[in-house]
Amino acid sequence: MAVTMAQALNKALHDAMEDDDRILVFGEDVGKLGGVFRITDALQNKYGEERVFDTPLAESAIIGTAIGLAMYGYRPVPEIQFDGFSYPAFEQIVSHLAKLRNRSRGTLKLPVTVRIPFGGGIGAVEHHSESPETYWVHTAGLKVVAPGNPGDAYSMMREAIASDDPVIFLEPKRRYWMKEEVELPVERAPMDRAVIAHEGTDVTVVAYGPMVKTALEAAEAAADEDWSLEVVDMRSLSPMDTVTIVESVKKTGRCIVVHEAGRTLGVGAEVAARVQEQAFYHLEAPIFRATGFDTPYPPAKLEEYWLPNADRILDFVEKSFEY
Amino acid sequence: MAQVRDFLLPDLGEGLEEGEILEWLVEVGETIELNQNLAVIETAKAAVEVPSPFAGKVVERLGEPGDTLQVGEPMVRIEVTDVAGDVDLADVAAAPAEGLASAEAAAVDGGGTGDEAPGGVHGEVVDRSILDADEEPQPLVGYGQGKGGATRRRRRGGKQGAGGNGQASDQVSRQTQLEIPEGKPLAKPPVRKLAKDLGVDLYDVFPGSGPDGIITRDDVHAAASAGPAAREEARPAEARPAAPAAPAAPTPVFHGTAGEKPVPGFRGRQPGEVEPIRGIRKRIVEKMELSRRDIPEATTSRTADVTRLWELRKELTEQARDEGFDVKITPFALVMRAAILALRRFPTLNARIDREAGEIALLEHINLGVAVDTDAGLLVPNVKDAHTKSTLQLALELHELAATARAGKLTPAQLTGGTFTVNNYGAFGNDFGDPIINHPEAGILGVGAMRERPWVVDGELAVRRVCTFTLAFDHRVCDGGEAGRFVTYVGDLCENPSRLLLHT
Repeated sequence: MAVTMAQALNKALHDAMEDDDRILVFGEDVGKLGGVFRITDALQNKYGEERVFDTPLAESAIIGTAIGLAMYGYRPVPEIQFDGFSYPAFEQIVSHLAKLRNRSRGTLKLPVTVRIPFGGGIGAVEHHSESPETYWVHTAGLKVVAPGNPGDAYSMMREAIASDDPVIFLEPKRRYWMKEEVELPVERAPMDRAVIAHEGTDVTVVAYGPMVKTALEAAEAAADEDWSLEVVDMRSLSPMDTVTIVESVKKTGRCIVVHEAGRTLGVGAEVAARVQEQAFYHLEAPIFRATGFDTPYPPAKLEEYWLPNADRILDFVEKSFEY
Repeated sequence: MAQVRDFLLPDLGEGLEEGEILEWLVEVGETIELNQNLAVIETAKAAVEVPSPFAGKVVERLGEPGDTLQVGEPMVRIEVTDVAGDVDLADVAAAPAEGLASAEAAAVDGGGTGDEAPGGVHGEVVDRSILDADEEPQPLVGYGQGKGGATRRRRRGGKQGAGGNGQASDQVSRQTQLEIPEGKPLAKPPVRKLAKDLGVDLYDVFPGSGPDGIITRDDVHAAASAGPAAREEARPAEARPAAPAAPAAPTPVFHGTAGEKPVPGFRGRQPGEVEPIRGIRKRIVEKMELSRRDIPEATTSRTADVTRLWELRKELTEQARDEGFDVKITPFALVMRAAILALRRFPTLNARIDREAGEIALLEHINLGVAVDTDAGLLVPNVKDAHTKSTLQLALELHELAATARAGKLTPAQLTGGTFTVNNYGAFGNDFGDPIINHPEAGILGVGAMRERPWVVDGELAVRRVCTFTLAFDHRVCDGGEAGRFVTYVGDLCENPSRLLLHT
């Protein structure tokens, strides 16, 4: 059955709430409306206003509430409506959500799954197309994951909700309508593992979330040039499955990291650092980063030019072959 | 149309940055052909004849014999004549710029085509058809998903991609941009690893044959098949012309007494002469100093009765000739055979020490170096994989190597990669020697003259042919016990040459 990522996520929430009545879903417009992307569609009808409820427009309070509920034994799945509005909740996330398990020496569980639709590509207004993942990845105590296809979205969402650690669940909003033939429920690789999304021999392209599809497009296009790209879907940004990436680069000798977020201190920088550390003697070329730019996210009609596309990836592939 | 062009001293390879004019081969005013040799230039490694890239008339020679030219400095000015089919020089000058411009234009065109495609038309980024409203939720925010990356530009393909201007400037650079990278060797990490694994010092192959002097895998493999030993001496030999490098001496010099052959290694030197330390001599100086500085060596000797070996070699030579091999099985070839057997028994003498890695590697292959006295100086080519070769092959190769060395035609491969050296100073009539280890090898076997001496056999004095073998060994790698037994074993094998059969 063809399933969109939005449908897969919705199904994951339904199935999780069905299985465990400690799971609570809340956020702006998640209840009656079913979420601006309909990810929480019909949850309130089914599980009632006590388990699925709309909150005031106050992200700090949403996360604060989630923390409190988690400390009392619930398993909250709060939604930050858009990536750009995670910043008001930043303090709650990095100072408390991320730290309480450690601060309590493990006594407290923090089974909070913070859903954040992230990234651009949908022609939205400002604050609605941010890629804040580095902030979360840099904060110890958080798991940070981003699925790249509907099946993974389902599987990883179920795993995230089941985790006793706080998880920042980054949903690639431009891929909500991406389809995959998959029977739900489905259990995929553990969410902290990267997977090879496309096997290849010449260049490893490391991507996550929305850029996985873009990387696959690049791999397909590269075949026309007789270049064989291997696409690694990171899936988890923290912890980072360095082994899979490094093994792939050891095979190909070349590496391009792709993400929408700006280049400087992006996830690509960390991947590049780890790869050079662990696969130095396999590197035929510098590790390149096909990323967004170190600028504010542009107005909607310019985002086509801002976001990495297959061409930007292939430009770097080409460059890497020059070595 | 005629135009005067400067010919710059070209990249002489090997990272050399300067060369000394030994001799001009053309006169001012002379009309020369394409590729005619202009001068003999001596570098730290060799004397090479530098051919002209132009046909024309020599207008000026920029330097006199003895002058040193930097690579990239003008060497000769040549008036290039207007040859039929020749390219107008003005066009040549203009061409790169045009090429560059068109390459840029092409790039812009390509980009333009690609940019139009995604949205179909500029300004129409929105494409609502991508959403299936029946099946999928309509987003409440934004225009919806764009098509980013749905179409793509045509690749310009591999290395050419970067070469928009690289290509165009290529014609220019060949003559005018003779850049030799300075400083450290450049190499990709896997090439560095390869070099490390194969025991190749990147500095020895620096600069490499890649662009900007980047060291390639092939460079490393070439160096490795040659080996680290005498790599540096290797290069000059390859480039060395057959003609003697030394300038013609103004006065007659000693070439041996009447009827005698010229003395090898004499090189026409005269008393009172001051010879600058350069070229091959410089490498020898460095190498000898390095050996003495780096290697705590010790020596041990054994004198052996080689009468039977002396006789055997005559027999073997006759037998070889009977079988159609035109070769002399020399006593030295048999000593080489003995040395190979001894190296197999005492492998610490066929070893490499790596102080940085804290390792002593006992080498599997034996590339047996032989010191050859040539007009150009001491050269040490080696017999590759000597352990796999028959005595006949050893003798043949020894003969060829020595002849090639004296002809100045050794290749780098022949000169590098030795793992142990045998030095036949006995050929000069010397009985004893104190050979210096060919760094970074672990030992060297000196072979003295095989001459008749009074010798005690069964308590009686007898006249026997006797030879003293001296082993200099790296005492870090090899202890006195092994070294002493090694040289004794060599002596025993030479005393009883039939034992050589046991292992070969």
